[in-house]
Amino acid sequence: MADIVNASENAVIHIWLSLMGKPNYRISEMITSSCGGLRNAWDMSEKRHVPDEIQKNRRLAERFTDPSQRERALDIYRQCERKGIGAVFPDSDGYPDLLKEIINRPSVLYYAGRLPCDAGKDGYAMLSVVGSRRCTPYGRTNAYGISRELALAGIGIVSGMARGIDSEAHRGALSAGGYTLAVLGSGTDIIYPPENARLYSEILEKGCVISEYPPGTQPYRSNFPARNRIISGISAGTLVIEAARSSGAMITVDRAIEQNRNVYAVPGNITSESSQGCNSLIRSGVVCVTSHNDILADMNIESRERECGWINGLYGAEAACASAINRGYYTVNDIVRYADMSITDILSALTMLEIKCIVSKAEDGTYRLV
Amino acid sequence: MTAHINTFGLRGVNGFLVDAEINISKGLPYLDIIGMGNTAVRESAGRIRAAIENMGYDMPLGRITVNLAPAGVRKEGACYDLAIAMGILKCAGCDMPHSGRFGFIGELSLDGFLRPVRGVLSMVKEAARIGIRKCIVPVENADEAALIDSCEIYPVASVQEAVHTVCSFSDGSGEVRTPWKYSGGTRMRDMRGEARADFADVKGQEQAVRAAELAAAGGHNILFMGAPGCGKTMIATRMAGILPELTKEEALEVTPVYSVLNMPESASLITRPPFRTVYPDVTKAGLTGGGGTPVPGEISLAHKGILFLDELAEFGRNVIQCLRQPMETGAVSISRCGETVTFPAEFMLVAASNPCRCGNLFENGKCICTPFQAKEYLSRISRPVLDRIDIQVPVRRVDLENTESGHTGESSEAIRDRVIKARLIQSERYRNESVRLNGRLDGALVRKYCAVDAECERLLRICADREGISVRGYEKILKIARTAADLEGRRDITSKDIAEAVQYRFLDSYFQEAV
Ligand SMILES: Nc1ncnc2c1ncn2[C@@H]1O[C@H](COP(=O)(O)OP(=O)(O)O)[C@@H](O)[C@H]1O
Ligand SMILES: [Mg+2]
Repeated sequence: MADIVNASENAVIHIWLSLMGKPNYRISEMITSSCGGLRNAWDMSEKRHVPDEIQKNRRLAERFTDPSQRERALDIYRQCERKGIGAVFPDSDGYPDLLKEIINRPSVLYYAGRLPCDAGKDGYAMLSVVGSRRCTPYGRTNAYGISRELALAGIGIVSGMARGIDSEAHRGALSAGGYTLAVLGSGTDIIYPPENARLYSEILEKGCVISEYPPGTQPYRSNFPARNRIISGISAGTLVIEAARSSGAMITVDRAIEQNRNVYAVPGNITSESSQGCNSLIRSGVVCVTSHNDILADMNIESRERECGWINGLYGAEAACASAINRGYYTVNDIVRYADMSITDILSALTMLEIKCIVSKAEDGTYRLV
Repeated sequence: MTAHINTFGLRGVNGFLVDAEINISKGLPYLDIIGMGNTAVRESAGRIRAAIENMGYDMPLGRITVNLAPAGVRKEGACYDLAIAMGILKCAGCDMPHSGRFGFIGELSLDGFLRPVRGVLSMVKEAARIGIRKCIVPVENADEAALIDSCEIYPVASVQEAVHTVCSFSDGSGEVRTPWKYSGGTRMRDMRGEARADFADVKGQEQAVRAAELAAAGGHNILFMGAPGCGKTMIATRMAGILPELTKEEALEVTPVYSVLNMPESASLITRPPFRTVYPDVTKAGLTGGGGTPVPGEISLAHKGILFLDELAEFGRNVIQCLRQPMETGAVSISRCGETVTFPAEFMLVAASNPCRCGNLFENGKCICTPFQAKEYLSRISRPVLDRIDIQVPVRRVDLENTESGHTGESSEAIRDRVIKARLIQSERYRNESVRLNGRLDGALVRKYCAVDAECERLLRICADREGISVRGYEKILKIARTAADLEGRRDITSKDIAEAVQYRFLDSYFQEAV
């Protein structure tokens, strides 16, 4: 312990306490108060002196005095240093304000990148966007588009970096040069799913990746439901875009409601299974979102009408394509039919629109407005 | 006493001259055939003896030796029967002074009548090439043989008729037979019914139909990718119908391939580009050709036409790999027992594939594959082959009930007219080159013939910056743009052509993302 200076001493002890058991915020607070301070707790552990309150729980008492737990905490700390991973605690600067309010807050939050407060975002300027991993182009378009618009309006986008809606939400925010935060169910140094490697590094660069799990933790299935409480807890509200009736996204919604946060949902096709969750939320009274402005209005944030200059600058086939896509015609064949122009004109117009960053082509060959 | 008779053998799809030498010497009656013949050749002794006797001639007494020269080349089949019989009769004293001006082709039956043989077209073609202007062939092969203008064909039904025909040229009585006129055969059967299948039947699918037109016009290889039942096979099978007729020269390259396999199509000149469908259960030999005596495979049957690989991703990797050499060189070489045979195989590749294991990747959320499974499925497609597929299009199911999307497209005839014009422009432009089509241009030729202006350069550079384009990808774009310009009869490639061409590298960009 002697080789670690004061501030870091605190960190190691917090990490050590977080290893004592779950829910870790409650256990670490109990240990701290019964020992009369962080430093005391560590010293008593070294001296194998166990306060009565801890003694009541035999398993906890064993762990409390176990020297390998203290070793492990030191080890995690060194790993963080080596990998450039930071750690914040409910009583330290930088721990997100809104997250402090929830009862089962993580007692340690590992992070890489810039924390919201360092990026100038307080909790009320953060919104989580969640939805199905297996989403339709409709869901993708909306996740990307709405996140982008919200980011342009200065809102940080929180999500889980999973496939589908999550990834699109992060991408949308990044495309607007906005702030985005990913809450992982693994250590912040573990990239999952692997195809998101590029997205991960972009988030690290422009936003933040956080996790309550120490570096090196694998993405265990059981970690994800617990992770969802952080997604909702760190944000002022949660927007659901495409979620089946029982899905991870719906768990996040439950947490958001428990935490007394706003819930928003984008309506979907009533015959589409992947919209059942959203539609039932809307029926039960959550705010129905048909445009990013609905959210901005609800959050009392000045809405920033998007200038329509971009569409005025277009003419001929390009304008026809843009408005076809805007109306929900995503495939080349549909666009051709809607625009009633020759296929060659449409194909070359689409390339030009891609170059102008007005539309982008998805993996499945469909187009959407950026 | 010795006689020489011209006949022909078959190596690959080419005929070669065989000199049947017959010698009769004193000794016990015996007929011996030498010259690297297979069993069918050696057994002709029996057929010939019976045929000669049953036709009322006397089999000469003595030791008869038949040598099929060149003796160092393997020979097979019964097509030498007639020639050997004629030689024996000549040795036996039958007066046929002009027999040296004829080529004799045909198999004998025991009663002395002729049976048809395979590859007659190739043999007669070779005869004409080396200056033998008269050929005697079985009646059944007459039309096929008569496809060669520069050779007079005398179809005969029996050994006796053959003898009479040759003799009529020598006795000076003026009663010379007139050569057979090509009767047109039976009008060639529609190959796989493509003539009936019209693009007008295809509802919607504007993108895929346009891609098919481009591919046909420039001879580009093309891949349709989409869910089962979305019409991939339907569109692919209609592509043969928008290709121009074969020229006489091309037809005379294609028909021998069918003749060698004794396929009914070869009864008349094949004038429509062939369309051959291959399924994933095809064997390597079935695809590229092979066998003890190499015979052409599907890629050669698709010479000057279309080879359609249905369900590309399901093909075995080593089966697909054998397409590389033919796609590069337009021919395939097969080695057997120290002999190499080359078959023509200049085809346009049309392929169809599911985009993922369940097939629904493009069907708005219906796909049940994980992203990994989806990528894995596509990675089964051989990259080197994919590299040579210029045009790649996604195809989606059309809601056939919906009248809006159900409006039908142009007729094949209208599309074919544009394709023909575009091909004329190309053959004019490439008259001094070895290629005829944009799809066959390679590096240097692309630079020479697909030069673009600064505006196009700029566009290409922007696209390359955005999604990363390999050198080959760059060439593909230029070649397709060239075809798009040719279809509109424009001399220069415009930025609009480039912008359209960029849209067909759908899978290339997909793979680029995956690496
Ligand atoms: N665009 C279309 N227009 C008309 N018929 C179609 C179309 N798409 C599919 N069909 C019908 O569906 C059938 C199956 O199509 P097919 O080409 O065999 O599909 P695939 O090869 O993609 O599995 C066709 O025979 C045709 O009757
Ligand atoms: Mg099919």
